[in-house]
Amino acid sequence: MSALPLDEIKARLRLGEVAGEFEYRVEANDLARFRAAIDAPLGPDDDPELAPPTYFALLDPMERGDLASDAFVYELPFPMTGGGNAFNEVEYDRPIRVGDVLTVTTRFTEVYEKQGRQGTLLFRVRENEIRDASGERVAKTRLGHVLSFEIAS
Amino acid sequence: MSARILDSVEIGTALTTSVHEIDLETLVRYAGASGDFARIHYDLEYARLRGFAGLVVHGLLKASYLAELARSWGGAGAQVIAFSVRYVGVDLAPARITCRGEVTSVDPEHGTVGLRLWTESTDERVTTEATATIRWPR
Repeated sequence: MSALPLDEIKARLRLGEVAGEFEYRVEANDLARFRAAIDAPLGPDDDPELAPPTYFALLDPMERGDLASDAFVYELPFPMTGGGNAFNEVEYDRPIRVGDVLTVTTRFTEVYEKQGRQGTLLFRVRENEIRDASGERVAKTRLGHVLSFEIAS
Repeated sequence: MSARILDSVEIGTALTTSVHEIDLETLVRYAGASGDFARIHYDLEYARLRGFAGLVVHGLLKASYLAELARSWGGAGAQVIAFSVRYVGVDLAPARITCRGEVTSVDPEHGTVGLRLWTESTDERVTTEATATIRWPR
């Protein structure tokens, strides 16, 4: 039996439905700042207009704080013992480039519970489809987040 | 490295290791660049309230180090077409993160190489595990 109100969480996240659609523009300054932050200087043969492979993280509405539809999970009546990103996956149809105007469509696709060392783990998985201005898909991502709770048995 | 690597690379080949020293400034810079302003990464009191013993290193920062290890190994023109990462342990700042990788598959027909990548913390725990597929233009 689930310790967490999974059915309520799934319903509030509207599992499978579009949770939000956002538009982001890829700017040269943002790429440069990101490269510096991840210790990835350009080599002499590198194209400065191509985004690093993990730039997809900057296009995730949850990471950016643009999509807060799961804020209620932080108000569950159980002590929180940890949490953060559980996993990230990306498949690129083409590299992200400076000047791209990208539409990101987010859906929550999975909610499940596991028992872990830090307590009861709540996993929430979301998927982003990233398309360019012509409607062509650029990438798809799958991102899992975990929160751990101490729940008295 | 270039597409010619497909003619000579072998499964099991190790990538050159990279090492990254992480402190509060690193986390603040990454937060500013990525937009991830979760307080567990820069507010020590809040991090402890959330159950952490210190400031948490962003998982995606570690993932970025690994993806960059793969990309730079591939050389000019190489593209990381797929990347998958799991966060199996928490790193707390200050930290020294060592990034390692090895070749797991070679597909000359499609022009791709598969890699296994991972980070090791200061105490040699594996805290991040990843796979990457690199492709060179034909």
